[in-house]
Amino acid sequence: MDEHEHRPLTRGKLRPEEWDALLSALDSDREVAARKYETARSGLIAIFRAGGFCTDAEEVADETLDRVARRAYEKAGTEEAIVNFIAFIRAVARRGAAESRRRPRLVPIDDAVTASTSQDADSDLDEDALDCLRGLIAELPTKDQRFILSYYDYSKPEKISQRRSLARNTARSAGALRVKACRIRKRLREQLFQLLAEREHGKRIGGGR
Amino acid sequence: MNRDPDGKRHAALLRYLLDESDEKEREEIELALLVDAQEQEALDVAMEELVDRYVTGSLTPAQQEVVKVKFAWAPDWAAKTAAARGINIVAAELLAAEQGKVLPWPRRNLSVLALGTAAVVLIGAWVFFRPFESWQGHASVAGRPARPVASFLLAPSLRKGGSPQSETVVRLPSPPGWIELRLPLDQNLYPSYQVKLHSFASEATTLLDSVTGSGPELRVPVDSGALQPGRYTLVLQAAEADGAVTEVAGYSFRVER
Repeated sequence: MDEHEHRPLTRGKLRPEEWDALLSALDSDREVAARKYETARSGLIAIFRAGGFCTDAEEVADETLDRVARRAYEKAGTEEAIVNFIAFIRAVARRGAAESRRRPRLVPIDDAVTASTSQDADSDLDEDALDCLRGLIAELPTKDQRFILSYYDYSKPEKISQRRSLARNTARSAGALRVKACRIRKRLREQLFQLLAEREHGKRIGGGR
Repeated sequence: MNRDPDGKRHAALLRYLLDESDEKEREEIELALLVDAQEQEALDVAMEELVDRYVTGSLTPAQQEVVKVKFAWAPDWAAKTAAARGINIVAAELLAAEQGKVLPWPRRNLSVLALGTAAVVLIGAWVFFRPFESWQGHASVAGRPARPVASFLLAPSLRKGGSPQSETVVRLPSPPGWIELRLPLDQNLYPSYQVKLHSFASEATTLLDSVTGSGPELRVPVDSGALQPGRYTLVLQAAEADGAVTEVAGYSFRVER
């Protein structure tokens, strides 16, 4: 690790030449490089979230890439040019994650409220929310509804064989079923919380009159 | 042949999320995440699976604790787990209702059917004059008597779209005791069957002892004290050779005092 990797992570504006150096290191084709940048950024966010980062995964990902860009600019064309760029990004990310865990953070008041109520990881939906969910599942296309019912068979000891049987019946691999279940589930969750937020907003407006 | 070629990858990603990967695996996964959007989606899928396993308690206690410590403060964790529990609850409700659909009860026909099927229902006294071979093996089980106090023949239910189904009435004996539900089968193809009893009144589904039988009829012993007046569905399931569970038949009946 050199001095750059020990420098505290802070966001400063990247100079155009540093940005250029980062993209050039990713790919000689500018458009391809931009796509690779986006993939690397979302990959960093995924890594930080998988590591249990709470609210600042995106921020730490951006800080990491800024630091990598500065380093790429300084080393470009020198004998110390970075050979394995992706491995370098990962190394900087790990360092940054460790630093980030140690430093105190300023959290917007709304996030702080959310975070303080998020610690109850075992909370359940109330009856109103369950009703919304029932409605959303009822509105799913029949095919998706059938699928999710089969996938989420509630009888735990049978779950695995149930899914195997489902895979056989639908001629899909277990992996494809997982992806499909994940998509339906995410969509339901997003719709549910959007609906609940709209209702809450409506209540606030109604209550404020 | 591996029917789930990406199963290994999925398992590796679950280990990664549970902090169970060694350094080599961790490096491999993180390098892939930085260059491959599909790997990121696969991690998303693994995270959903982890949430599902967490809320259903399918993780080991140690894993459950790791997940709680790592993710409890993540802003969307509470939403993910609450939604997962909700989806499982609603799916369970719908599946229970589904079992009811398999065994339709056209309300308009109930009174006529109840009268019409009264003759079909075999009650109490009949059983005292019949040999109960299949009960002998159970005689010593959980204080169950060698002979049930009553026996009821249930008609297999038709699937949705079939003709109206007769309603079998099971009258609870007084005093309560072990009764026998007799389930005719078109074909008896499996060595043993799992029996699920669902009450429409309480929405509870009970897994009864598995039953075996070689003839065209299975006999399921039930403690009448555990039954309440109301509609019930009984579903017979069997395990295929590959472990998959197949629904074999369904029977509906109404319990009366």
